[in-house]
Amino acid sequence: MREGAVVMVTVVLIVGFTLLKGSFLTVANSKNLADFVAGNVAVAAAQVMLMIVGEIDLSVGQVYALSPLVMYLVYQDGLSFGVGIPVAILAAALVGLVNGIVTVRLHVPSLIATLGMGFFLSGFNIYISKGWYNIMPKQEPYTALFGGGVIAGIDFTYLWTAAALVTMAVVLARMRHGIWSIATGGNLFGAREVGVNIRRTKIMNFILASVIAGIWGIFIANRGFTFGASGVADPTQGGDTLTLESIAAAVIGGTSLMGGSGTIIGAFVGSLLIAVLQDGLILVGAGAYIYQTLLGIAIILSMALNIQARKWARK
Amino acid sequence: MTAVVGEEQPVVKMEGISKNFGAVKALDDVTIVVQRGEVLGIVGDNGAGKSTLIKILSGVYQPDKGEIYFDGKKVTFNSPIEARKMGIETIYQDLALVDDLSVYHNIFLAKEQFLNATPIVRFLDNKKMRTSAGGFLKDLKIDIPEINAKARLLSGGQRQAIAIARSVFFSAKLLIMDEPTAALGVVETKRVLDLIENLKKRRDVGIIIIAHNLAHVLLVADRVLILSRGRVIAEREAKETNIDDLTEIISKRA
Repeated sequence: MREGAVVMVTVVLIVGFTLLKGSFLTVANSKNLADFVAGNVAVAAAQVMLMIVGEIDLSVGQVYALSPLVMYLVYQDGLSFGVGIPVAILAAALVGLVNGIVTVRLHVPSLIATLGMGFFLSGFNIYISKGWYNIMPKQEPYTALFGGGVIAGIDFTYLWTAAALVTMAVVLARMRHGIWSIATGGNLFGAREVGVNIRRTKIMNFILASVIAGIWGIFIANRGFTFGASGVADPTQGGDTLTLESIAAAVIGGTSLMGGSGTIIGAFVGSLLIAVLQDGLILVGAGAYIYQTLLGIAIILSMALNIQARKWARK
Repeated sequence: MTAVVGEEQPVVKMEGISKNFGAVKALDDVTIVVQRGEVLGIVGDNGAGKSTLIKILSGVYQPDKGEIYFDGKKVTFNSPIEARKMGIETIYQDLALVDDLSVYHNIFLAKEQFLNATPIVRFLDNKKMRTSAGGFLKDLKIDIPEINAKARLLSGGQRQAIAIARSVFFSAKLLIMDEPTAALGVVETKRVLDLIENLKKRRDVGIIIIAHNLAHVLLVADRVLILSRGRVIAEREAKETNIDDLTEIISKRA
């Protein structure tokens, strides 16, 4: 299994960092790791679903910033988060729908369609926020449910993240949408030939990626409440870093850009590897550039391995 | 559907079919008949009109003149989807399977079976699909490594066999095979030809096979139709002809 190799690399990194810095394997630091993974992995998993149908979304990072801003603005207009959160999620869904339609109906490659959408939203986010970050008010139960709450010492966000990953894995293995996604990415014309609705399958995964990015954007905006600070709706939250890390996690976890294959567990181990790398390097006092350098190597190595593994499987 | 009298109702009858592309007469007054359980071979040199004929039958082209009767009923196909709905399946060699899906998911693709849990969230009944796909492949004596195996692991002949089995499983009445053995090795070819033999014995589908390899056509066909420049120039019972005879007919008129 490809994921096995990534897990081994991750374990080696954890052992290495622990030897270098004893504080790596502590409760406090595992919270740091969990925070990083929880903020990233659901988006990475949704990116995997999209890559399985042979598409990609470069605008997830901007949707991640958009939805908490929408939620905040609706609140500013005097409405509760009970309205603001659904409106924010709908806004995210709309972005996904547009990405999907531009790709599937206008035949613009998703790389370009979502690149354009990403740029558009970067500007749009600054415009609607006037370039300022906004302190989130607390409004229960919404704040707690959407990333601000802790239950039995566990952030709500972790639970939602686990639920989202399990759901996506079940969809892939046990539901028609999963089978159709693999068929759409693996053999577009053959799948259409036997009656798979390839357009709807693709559009649904675009919407999924946007909605997940939107919801997790809200979680992260509310994260401050979990450690006694307050939440922030920041127009620069997420951004290209989140987008690229979601793709990196997917690729490191063995997902092929060619479509047709990819796993949710792969997105998880990919995210975990990135988290360990990033967090461990901070702890041992290495500069941020080292993290980026190593992540770059990790991405290329995994992709090369993935392609070789496919060749061997064919023999 | 009209009532079938006896078993002699042909699956398909194309009568007086003509098709022009600009000034080119691709087909000129062609008539073919295929019975249930019968394999009709269509041979002829390049440009003889073979693919135009099957494209008309599978709904890709519409004829300029002539009629198509399917199960005794006059039909017109405006698209391949309409033809497929009637039970006409065309098997293309490379188009068929999804590498990363299991054999049974491939067979049930777009015709999945569900557990009767809830109407909104429907889970696949993988066990049921696995069992019935496995049983059906066994009936047809199709030999695959494992029903759970990904299609990626299958050989060319196995893939072809699975694609054929899929159409038959979902009650195709007429199978059109365009060069089913073209890219296959000797053993693989035998596998596909054996499958065609098995289908013939079941007597529930008619088969049209187009191939350049006359030996392969003669091995499985009951009748052979020879096309040249858009016309049927000869028709032979497979038992009463041989490769030399067919070659002579084709080359004389080409």
